[in-house]
Amino acid sequence: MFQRNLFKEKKGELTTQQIIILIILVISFVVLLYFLFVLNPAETSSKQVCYNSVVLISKGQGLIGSLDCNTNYLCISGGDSCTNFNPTATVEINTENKNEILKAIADEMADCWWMFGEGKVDYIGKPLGGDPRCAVCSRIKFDEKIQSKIKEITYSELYDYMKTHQSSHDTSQNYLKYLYGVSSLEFSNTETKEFNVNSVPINTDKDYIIITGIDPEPPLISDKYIKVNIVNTDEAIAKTRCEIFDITKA
Amino acid sequence: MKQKNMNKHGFFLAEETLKIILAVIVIGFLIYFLVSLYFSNADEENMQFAESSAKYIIEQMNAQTEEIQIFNPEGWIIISWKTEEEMPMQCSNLGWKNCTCICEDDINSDIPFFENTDLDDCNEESYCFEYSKEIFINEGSLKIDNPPITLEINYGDKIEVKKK
Repeated sequence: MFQRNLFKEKKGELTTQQIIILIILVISFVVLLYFLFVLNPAETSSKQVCYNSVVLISKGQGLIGSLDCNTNYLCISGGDSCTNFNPTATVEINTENKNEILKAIADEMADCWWMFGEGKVDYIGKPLGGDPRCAVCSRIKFDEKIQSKIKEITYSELYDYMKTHQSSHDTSQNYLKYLYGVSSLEFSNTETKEFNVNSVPINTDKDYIIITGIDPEPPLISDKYIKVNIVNTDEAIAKTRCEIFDITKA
Repeated sequence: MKQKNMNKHGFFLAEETLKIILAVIVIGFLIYFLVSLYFSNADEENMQFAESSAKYIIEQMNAQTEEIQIFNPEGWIIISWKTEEEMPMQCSNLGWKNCTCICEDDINSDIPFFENTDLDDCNEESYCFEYSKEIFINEGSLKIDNPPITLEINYGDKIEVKKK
């Protein structure tokens, strides 16, 4: 009788335990699904992995660790898909609102700067000297809807947006301050060759890349850290200080 | 007493000398090991770039992209072989019908008596892949120099690749 009671209690205890475990498993599964499909961690994770590798290599003086950074392929879409392009990320925008495109570009530039240490971390980790080495943080393409509605985006528009909006990585600063260390290019004393408001506009029917890098032997009055810039893929060397692109993998 | 001290002196010197010689050998070995590690790391990095660029080319070809930009590894070459030709061992060993590789271009290849063929280069350091269609490179091989290089792709019975 005593033993039977014991078994009864044991049975009850087991069942409750099983139910609790099942509930926890189901909740965990739902949370996991949420992260997988809603937050799209693939993009976030690869940028985080890159950032971590940059920090590790700088701490190890180039003797431990190696860069693990991949180019992000961003499709800025007005509803269509980007042709001849296999994006790792897509940003949907309203074609009536140009600011949304400017935000997408500014955010991608800010991510690039953040990934590579914001100009505070030496991730080259090799002896001094050599050609300027650059990373291709992102490749950007616009879909046909945007190409038909918004033919071009001037650097002046991009600059104005950056001056008036908070950076996604540091809300205490605008994008301009975060990326270039200046609040306004008109009153800047430093030469920010990488950002030229008079450059040929961004044509939405062409491909663009966002780059940053390190120049081991910078010219006088220039910083060794090559500031983030968005340039036409074909003009990657002509319009920047970059000579070699051996930091990011395709 | 003096002799005893002198004997002790002589023995001391030999022991210390031996220690120094051993230390030099071990330090030399450590330096060699570190240098090898450093250069193998650099080689491994370029191999990763080659693999990444190769996979990117495959992806873009699958999407029938007509222009592909390649940024790295700088100085390496893109080259292709078909079945009838002698191809790198990593391809022939697997019985591939065609073979496209991104290979390290040996700097000695332009020096007489030290010439390395593209096949030799690809047998040494390369990343290769087989594609569903034959890939034909007009110029024979394409060097990844002054990046990015833009590959123009023409899709037909075989895939024609040339530098823009």
